Amino acid sequence: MQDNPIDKLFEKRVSWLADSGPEDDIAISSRIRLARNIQEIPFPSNASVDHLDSSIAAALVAVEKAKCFKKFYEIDMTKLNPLDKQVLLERRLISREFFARKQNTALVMTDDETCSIMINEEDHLRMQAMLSGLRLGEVWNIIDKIDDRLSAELPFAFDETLGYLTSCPTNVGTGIRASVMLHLPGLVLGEQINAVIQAVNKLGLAVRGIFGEGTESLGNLFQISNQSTLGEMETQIIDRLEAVIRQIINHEKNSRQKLLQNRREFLMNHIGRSYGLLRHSYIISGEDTLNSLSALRLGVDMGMFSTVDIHTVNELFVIVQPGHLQKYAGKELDTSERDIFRATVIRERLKSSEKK
Amino acid sequence: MICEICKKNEATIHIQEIINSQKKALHICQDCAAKKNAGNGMLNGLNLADILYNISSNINSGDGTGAAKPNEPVISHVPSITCGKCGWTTVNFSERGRLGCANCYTIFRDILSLALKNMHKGTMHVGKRPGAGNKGTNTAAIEIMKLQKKLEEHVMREEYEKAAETRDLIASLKNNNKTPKKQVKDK
Ligand SMILES: [Zn+2]
Ligand SMILES: [Zn+2]
Repeated sequence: MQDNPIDKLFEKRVSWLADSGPEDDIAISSRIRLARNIQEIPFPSNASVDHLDSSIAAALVAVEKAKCFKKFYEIDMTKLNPLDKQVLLERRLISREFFARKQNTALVMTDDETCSIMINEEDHLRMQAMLSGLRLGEVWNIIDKIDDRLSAELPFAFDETLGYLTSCPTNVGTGIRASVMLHLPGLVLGEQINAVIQAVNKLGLAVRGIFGEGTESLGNLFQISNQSTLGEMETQIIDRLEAVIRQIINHEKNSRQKLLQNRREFLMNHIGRSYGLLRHSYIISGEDTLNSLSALRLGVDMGMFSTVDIHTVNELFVIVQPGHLQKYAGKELDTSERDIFRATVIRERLKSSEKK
Repeated sequence: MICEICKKNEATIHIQEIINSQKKALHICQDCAAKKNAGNGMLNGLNLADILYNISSNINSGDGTGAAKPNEPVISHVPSITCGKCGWTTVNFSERGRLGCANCYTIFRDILSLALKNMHKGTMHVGKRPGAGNKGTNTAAIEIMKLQKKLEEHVMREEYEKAAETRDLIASLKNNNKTPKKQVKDK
């Protein structure tokens, strides 16, 4: 039996959260996805089982031949248990769409979690690269090379006028989706976030909450991404996004500064209480956790906590999620069991970082 | 202007600016925008059905103003087209906002060209192109890759008889693959 790659992931820290990157107090990670399809095979949503097998086989053979990655795993998603799938989703190695697919799908991912290729998502191939901090240029270099190599082995569906052909016309052309995850508690506390979202939307970029299931964005984590994929070069799209991201980062910094100057007690109280909640709770909901973690992260950024480091907080954002908690527990947990176990994991993590 | 969702607050967000379309406009307040934003992402994403809707009424209204007529069904206005390669229809397209295969881009070109203008900065691809290896590949090449994968699995499971069969199959496919090319050259 082959070792379960998902178990191996657990032996390591989440690389895009544990490494330092430029501006990583506010920009948590940068990711670029490219959509590609293979000639002569219908897009996955309209493909027969045989077609789906063909695209998986072709993609896997191409990945090996192209020598894209030094060390990587091939995962048959149909054989993966739901909990492991959930873990991949929480680590952002697969999309929600891919998670929910019932058809034949496969995943290729590097052992450092920097790159992954979803096979038979909405398109035959969705390849992604992800690094910590604001590093879109570096991420582009990585994914551009992988695409070049794969392109030498696989015939991609391409049109002279429309570029790379994708299942959804919103991705046609470059097939690129570049995004940066931002932590914006200053703008949220300063009640400027809606104005910023509005402005960013006007520039043709999309904003969405990372944990945006309900009506608010939990944890003050936002993802900013390009929407237009046709009519511009990849580097133009990336540069435009990065310019906007830099402005948002400046707004966030200003907002934090203003809060510290004008509403110092309000801010300290918010951060201090959140830390207390995380450090001393025995039952804590996912929602409370994400919002408190956001405040703790802000406190760490502002130098309020000498004992807690930013990467511990970053990792907590991932491991407090249901899939990771159950994986750590080694068994299925219902909601109330999770709330108890979550509190335990957080208390222990924070306690051990104090000892250092 | 009053928010179209809650019908209470002043509408300060106008979605037509996001999708760069003069036809579709949703005027909503900041609260509703935030809710929408967190909810289904429609505020940020492009609602393809809406775009197609406007186009279809535009195509058939013929008044050239591009004014969308609300409450008119989409499909009845668009001539029914089916992709010969994958069987995707106009109905599939307008319901799902997706295409069935690469060939659909040619089949649905007229509907698409208008929609693409609303979605993207331009209508011409100016980004990277596939490498030289992209030309001249065909279905047989994919079939060969599929068999190569099978071959690997047989070898791994030590099913040597099956592996040999698969290897022969690959060889014969490779040969067949070459013959027509030669014939073309001979002409
Ligand atoms: Zn409203
Ligand atoms: Zn088609």
